Amino acid sequence: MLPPWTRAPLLSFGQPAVILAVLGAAAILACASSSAALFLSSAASESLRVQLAAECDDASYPELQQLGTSGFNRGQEPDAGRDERVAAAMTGQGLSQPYRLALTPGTVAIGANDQTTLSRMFYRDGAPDQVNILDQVPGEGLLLPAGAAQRLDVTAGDTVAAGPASFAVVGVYQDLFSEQTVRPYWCSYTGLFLNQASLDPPPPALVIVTDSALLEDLQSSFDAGLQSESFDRSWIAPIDTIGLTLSEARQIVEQRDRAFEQAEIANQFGRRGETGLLPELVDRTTLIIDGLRGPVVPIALGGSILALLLVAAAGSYWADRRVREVRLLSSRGVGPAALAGKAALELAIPAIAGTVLGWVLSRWLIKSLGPSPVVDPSAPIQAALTAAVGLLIGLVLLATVAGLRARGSTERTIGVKRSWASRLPWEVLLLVAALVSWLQLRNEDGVVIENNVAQVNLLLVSFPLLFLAGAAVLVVRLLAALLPLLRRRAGRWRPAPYLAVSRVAASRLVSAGLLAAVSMPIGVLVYASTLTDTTEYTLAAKAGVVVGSDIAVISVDRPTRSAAIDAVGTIVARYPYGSTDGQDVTVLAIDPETFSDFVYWDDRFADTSLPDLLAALAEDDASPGVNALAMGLPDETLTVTLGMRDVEVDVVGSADTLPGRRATDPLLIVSADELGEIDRTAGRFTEIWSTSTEAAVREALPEGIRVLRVQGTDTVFRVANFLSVTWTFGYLQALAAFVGAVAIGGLLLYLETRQRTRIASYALARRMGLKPASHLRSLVIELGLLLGLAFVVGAALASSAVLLVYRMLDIDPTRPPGPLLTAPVITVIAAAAATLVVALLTAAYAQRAANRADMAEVLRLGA
Amino acid sequence: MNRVSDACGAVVAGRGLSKTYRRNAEQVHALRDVHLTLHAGELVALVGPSGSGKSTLLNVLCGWERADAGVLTWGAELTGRHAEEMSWGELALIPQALGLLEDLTVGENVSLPGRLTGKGDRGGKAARELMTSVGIAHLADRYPTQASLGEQQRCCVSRALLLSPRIVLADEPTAHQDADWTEVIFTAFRQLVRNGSVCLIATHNPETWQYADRILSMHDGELREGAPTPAH
Repeated sequence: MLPPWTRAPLLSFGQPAVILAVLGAAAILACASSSAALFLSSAASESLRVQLAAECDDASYPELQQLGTSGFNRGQEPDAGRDERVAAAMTGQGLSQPYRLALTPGTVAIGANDQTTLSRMFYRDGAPDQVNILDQVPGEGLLLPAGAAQRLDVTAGDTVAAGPASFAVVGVYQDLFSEQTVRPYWCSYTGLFLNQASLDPPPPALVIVTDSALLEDLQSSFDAGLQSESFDRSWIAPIDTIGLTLSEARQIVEQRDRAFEQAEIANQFGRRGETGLLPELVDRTTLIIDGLRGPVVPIALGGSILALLLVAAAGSYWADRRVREVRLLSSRGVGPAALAGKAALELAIPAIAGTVLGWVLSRWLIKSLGPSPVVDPSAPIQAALTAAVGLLIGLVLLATVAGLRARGSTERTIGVKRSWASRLPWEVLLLVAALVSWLQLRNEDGVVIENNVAQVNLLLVSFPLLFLAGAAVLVVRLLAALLPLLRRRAGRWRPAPYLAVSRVAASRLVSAGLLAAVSMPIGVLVYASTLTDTTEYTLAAKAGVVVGSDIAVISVDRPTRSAAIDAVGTIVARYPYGSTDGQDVTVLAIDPETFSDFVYWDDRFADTSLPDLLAALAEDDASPGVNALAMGLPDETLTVTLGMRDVEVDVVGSADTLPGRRATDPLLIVSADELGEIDRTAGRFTEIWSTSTEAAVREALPEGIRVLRVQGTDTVFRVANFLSVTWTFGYLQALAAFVGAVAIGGLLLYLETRQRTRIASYALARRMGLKPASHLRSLVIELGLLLGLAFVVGAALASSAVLLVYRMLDIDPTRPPGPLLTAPVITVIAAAAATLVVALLTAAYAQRAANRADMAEVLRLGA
Repeated sequence: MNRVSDACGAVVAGRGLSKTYRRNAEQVHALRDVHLTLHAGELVALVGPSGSGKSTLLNVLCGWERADAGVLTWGAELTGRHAEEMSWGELALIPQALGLLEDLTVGENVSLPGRLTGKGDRGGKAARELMTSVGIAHLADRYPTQASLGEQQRCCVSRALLLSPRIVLADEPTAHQDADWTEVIFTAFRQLVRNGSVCLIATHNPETWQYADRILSMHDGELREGAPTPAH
């Protein structure tokens, strides 16, 4: 005969239902416990990706730099082996072969034909291939932009002086600022040729050095002349930023630092020469993840504790299914510890299999639904270790409960008098803790900004969890007290509702437990998704208010209204330097006819609707003043100074938020026609606010209208700084879905445990005349009533919690509007549909089990 | 072959009923060529030790199990019907496992057949009378689990008798009763059969045999007329 420790693990295979229950519970536990490590790593990867996407491709490449401080290298011999040495140092550290870049940090005068112009000398491997050559001769030398060549009156084949020496002009290229779009190659250098800040004078000519060998000649000439300009030299190793993880990014930064130590490139005053954006992105990502870890770890812990309840239920279920054997063992003196050991041995294999399944599931979930499918290689290992710890705790709990239930010491049947402890409203303690959290939250910011990175205050997570758990149990306790009343009423109803209500009312404790268990995830889901949607919508609204529409194409010229412009946008004249009564004010002169078609607007911006505000603006009243809509100014007549002119303004409407507000000054919106001509000293930008693409607006602009810059809603914020806010609530939503899974698991175990008595009742009731359809209806009503009520309770409590806290969730208080409450309609509908589907499926499951049951067997063994 | 009774005027007659189970490698003959006839107005005791096949015979009669061989015919107004199609007013059951609905009170359990069929005393008058007669009227508002096993069993008997069924099949209906309540229950059965119904009561308690008009004894799947012989 085999010893028990080898035989016991095989016994559970005779109980497929128990295997499934333990497998499912262990999988959910592993999923909960291992998800935090994977989620944080996934969030880090996504945070890096978002930040990298906002930068030029090469901005994050590891770069070694030798700064060309004026005169520092004067008189020194050229460092002949520098390029090879640096390249060897970088590749030796595992970085890719670097390309070279050299640029004069300041301007260099170049001259020809008695003309001079200022220039920046630029060298980068392959640069001549990235410009549109207009004129060219063979050989190496300088490529001049067409504008500079024209000013110097030179063509390809001429020479220009740069210092005492002259250099061949081997080509003339089209000025980069005049190209329709900026090529990716030049992305990091737009400041060298685009006058985005509208500076006067504009950027100097960008002279391209075609051969790196010329750099030394140029440097010698600089040193010999009056200009003591030196090249800044860089060696940049391209990296693959797609799918870059935080640890990989850290490793690249370390490789770069070590390469710098080995490269032996001296900088004045011992300044370091490691550069590139990557370290900054790594630091910011670390900050984001540190902020995210605060709420995520407690959420994962809470989820794991809930999953342990399901594991305990699975242990109880084992005891139910093995009741004959364990009673027999009990009667022969086998103690609870030995029974627990037996349960642990029997259930170990499905528990381990479930843990592996849960780990795989959490990896799949993070890959499919997480912020990024990419995680650090160490994250799955860390997740597996956490899952293993969860498994150990789960097995101990499972065995303990199974042992206790096997002895019957924890069995409770309907009708047994409840203890005084179970009658105490323990949930009030949770509500008190929630109240303390909320009171503390009122004195703190809901979102903490650290180094421009927003982090969710942990209280915003703990408050709703405590509130929802406490309030759900309290409300359910109160509802349960009404069940006898409902039951009395049901006495007059048709069989299906009568049986359904009877079942709910008879098992009051079980029904209440189910109700609370289901209302919790619904509540957490509604709370988290409302705050997520509110945050995202508010962030979009803030960006929309800054821009005025989806994009603002800004020009210093004055395009006028045309059919083509009307089709894509509305013209807004911005006067940013107005003043009234000593206070700075921005005035927007708009076209009221087309304004509402393109402006970003939310009805909560003002008490009056936008059409009514615009109608007030266009109203022809007796007052000589210009009608205006105001934000941050009183409703009265004002004198606004714009350039040389004082404009009388009648404020005819006001709003908490007006679109187009980019500074903290008050804002006035007037009709452009009514405002009339304003002199040039006022300083004016003309903007096309559009919901179309930039290209469409450019296409619609008349010839000769120059675009100064384009502002889009996607460039207003550094989005990565706010990611942790939405991710925190996203993870909370995941917890809700997870708790929902736990609740469904509990529901199935509940149905399964009661199945035998239900089947016996059903068998007899059918003989008494109960039709199968009526029985199914009664199951649907029973489960629908429980789950539907749970949905209403959860959603109502979550709404209360949201109303208490959403105003604290302003992630950028300097920019209007404040938080705009946004209902997560799709999530709520999806949750309601899921609830309905679960009710129908579980009812169908119970009905199917009843129909398939062997009545003779059930009635012989039952009761 | 054991000839039990003439089929003429029978409410139900079984001919050559056999039923075999397979328990691992072993074959269990629960019914062996059983012939059985039940007449209107009869109270028949089906006696025999545990495992003799009593419950199997009741299950075959009520339609929950099918015999491997043999014919079951129903007489009078039940001619051509199958047991599983019969209403509670035609064929009522008292299973060994009772099968009370735990979510309904004792009173509701008793009156449930009337409620589900739309017949009978929906106001509960008949149910109250029945419960009074078997001593459980005071438990009407309690759940079955709040009553003793004996009381639950009397609740089950009352439920079976509520619609005055044509046939009652009862499996150990007095297993949890003392002598007084056993007499009360059999008195209730006796009142029913006086109105032309038939009761087949499976019991292993010899003290109950005195209430029966006829005794059928089972042993190892075989049915015989009369009380079991000492050899059995």
